[in-house]
Amino acid sequence: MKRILLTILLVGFLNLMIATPALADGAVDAIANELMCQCGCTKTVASCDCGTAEQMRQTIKAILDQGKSKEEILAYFVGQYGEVVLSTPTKKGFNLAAWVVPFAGIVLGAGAVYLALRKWVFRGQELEEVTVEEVADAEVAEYEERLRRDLAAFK
Amino acid sequence: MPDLSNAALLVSPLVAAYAMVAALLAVRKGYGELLQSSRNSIYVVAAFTTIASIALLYALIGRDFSLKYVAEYSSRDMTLFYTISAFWGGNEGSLLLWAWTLAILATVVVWQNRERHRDLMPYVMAVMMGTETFFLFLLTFIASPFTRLAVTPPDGNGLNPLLQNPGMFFHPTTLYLGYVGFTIPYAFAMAALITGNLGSEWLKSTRRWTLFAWFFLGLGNLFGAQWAYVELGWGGYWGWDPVESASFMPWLTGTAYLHSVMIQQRRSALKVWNMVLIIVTFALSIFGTMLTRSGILSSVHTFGQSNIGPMFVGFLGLIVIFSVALLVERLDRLQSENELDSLVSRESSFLFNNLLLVGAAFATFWGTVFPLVSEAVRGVKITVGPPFFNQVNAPIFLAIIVLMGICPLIGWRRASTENLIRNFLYPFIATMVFALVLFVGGIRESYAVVAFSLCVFVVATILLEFYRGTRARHRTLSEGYLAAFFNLIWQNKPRYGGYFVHLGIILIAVGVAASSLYKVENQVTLRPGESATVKDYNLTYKGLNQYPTASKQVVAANLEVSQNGKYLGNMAPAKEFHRGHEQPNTEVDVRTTLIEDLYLILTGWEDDGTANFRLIVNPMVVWIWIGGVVLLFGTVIAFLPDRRERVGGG
Repeated sequence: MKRILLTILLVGFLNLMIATPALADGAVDAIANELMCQCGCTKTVASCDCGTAEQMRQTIKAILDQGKSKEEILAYFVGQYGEVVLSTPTKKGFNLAAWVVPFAGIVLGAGAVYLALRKWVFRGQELEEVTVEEVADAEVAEYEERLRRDLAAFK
Repeated sequence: MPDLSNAALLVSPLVAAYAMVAALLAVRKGYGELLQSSRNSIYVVAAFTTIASIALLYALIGRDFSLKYVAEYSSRDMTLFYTISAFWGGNEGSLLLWAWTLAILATVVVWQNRERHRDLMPYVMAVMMGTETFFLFLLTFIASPFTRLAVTPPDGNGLNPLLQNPGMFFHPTTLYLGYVGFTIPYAFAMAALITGNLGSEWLKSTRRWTLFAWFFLGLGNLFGAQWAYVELGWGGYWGWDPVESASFMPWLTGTAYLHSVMIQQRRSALKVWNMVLIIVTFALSIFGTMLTRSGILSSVHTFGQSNIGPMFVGFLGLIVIFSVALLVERLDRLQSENELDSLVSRESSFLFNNLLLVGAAFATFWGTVFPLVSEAVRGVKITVGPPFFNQVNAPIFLAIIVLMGICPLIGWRRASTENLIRNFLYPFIATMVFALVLFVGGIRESYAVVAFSLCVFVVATILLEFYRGTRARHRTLSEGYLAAFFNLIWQNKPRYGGYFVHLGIILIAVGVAASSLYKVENQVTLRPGESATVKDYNLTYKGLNQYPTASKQVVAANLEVSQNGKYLGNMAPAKEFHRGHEQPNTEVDVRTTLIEDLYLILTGWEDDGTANFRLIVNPMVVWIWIGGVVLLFGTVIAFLPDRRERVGGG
């Protein structure tokens, strides 16, 4: 812990002393996007440009420079601020519900829509069949009647 | 003047409540005079809220700092533009804007329908005035804009610097028009449920009101996004802030409703579903207003907070209980004998479009409330931030885009194989070719290839539709191509207006996808004379300029910008220190082209002139704003009177 803090201080100090162009650091940005700024702005560390976010970015960079992995860095921040610092819920335990429920809802909804549609189609086909049969019956009856009359006249 | 208007405001909840009760009594007892009295009372409410609003404007423009509201949200150095905007800069004024807008819209509805819908109108009036009574009650007893200070200060606090942007004029006003506008279709829906007249007449009459509310809600969101982009200074336009989400959710359910009512009008189906959608949309509109105004959740919108939260929760609960109880009561009459010939049809594609739109609204809602759920269940505070919403909503929105291409062109009842081939073969080929071009061109990110190709698919289906319609008119009616094109649109405005709206949405989708996936950023610290690059831009920092204006101190950096060696000009991102406000305000500088925005933020500096910058290249952001203009154009076309309407719309 002491080493981390010392590194942060050192890096911060060096940054103030040497104002040279910093490198665009994709790794820092990627991790910063997974952390929320703690200034109360509701933005990620990657988006916010307040002092708190800047300090957090420096910390990320400092720990990265020590060769730590992304998971270790995120764990460090969770240790510092609690789970609230993560920009998205973790994909395990109860938090999994945050990710799964929306899609589960859509899948269930799709099932319901499919069942409803199938019922409609069934009803549509039923109606069609009845209609065709009725028309056929009526036509047959008409022809039979005409045949009967013609036969009667012929006799 | 404020005292007179205060009196008007004090009386107005009583008048609105009277209008509601009189309308209900009139229809129960059959008293025609009482109904006329209720109508007149609505006009009186509109007059009173107009008087109150003019008085507040008068007090703001006249710098009457004896009023607490004027002293809190305006100051002598503010321009007329922002002084007028201060009207809705705080809680009390915002609520007055809500009540005033509803009173005016209610007046228009009553006037429009003075000879129509005699059975529905008393209940429509009662629902509108019930809502109005709630807002006027808040204004009168909890959050009056006409409270006087014991001592009149020489000057006011002024508007929060973040709010001093043209967006302040357009974003709240359009958003509120959307929120308030949904009261009208909701009121008609409730009236239909109460009277049992559940046919399609009320839908026809509210088509334009729904379109009106939907359009303004969308426009309000876009204005908000544009404002956030240039004013909040973080390089983006949408941060999934709870209040942003709250205004997006009713837009999504409203979009679903706009589509599903077409099925009810054409096939007399989905009656219960449409009721559910309009109830949810209205409830979400009230929820959105509540989040913005109560400061319950931490948000970029918490400029004015007060203790009106519990009141809103109560009102929201009342709406939900009342609506659901009515709906359940009428369930037997809402059953429709739907029948279809095939699972592949316009109806089924609309149902899936509805499912996805409501699904996106639900995902957004779930993400917004999940921190509260987690705290309740596990006792652990967690955050559901922007990356969550992006990850969850992105696939849903892509699926919506697919259906956007399919829905308008698939046949009703049954889509034959010929129908499918005729409408989708060419767009499908165009999509595949485009995807290949993207891939060969070096765009390999799967999300990007899928998103852009799907956008091309939708555009191709729409263009094909325009082409075929124009060609048919040219051949059968011998019209010139240009005349045929315009007549095609003119003869069926809702349909072709809808296509333009879809084009607008696609432009927005392209802008969102490009700027989310291909944003390039560089954070640098530069001494005067030093240079930095971002993408193919080269920026040379020339130094800092400090100068005062009437209301603020400005610190601006001077950067010389060139692209591939070609000088483009100088840019000046700045920080502004407004008088009376501790926190400086970031003023970004943006250079916009159709391809990309160069977006510069000055984040800090040292005494020796060394400065920190965030240099961002945001691709195709301007397409989002252009999409908004196309959306406006399409909505106006769809809004115009159409010869196919036998009954004039509301």
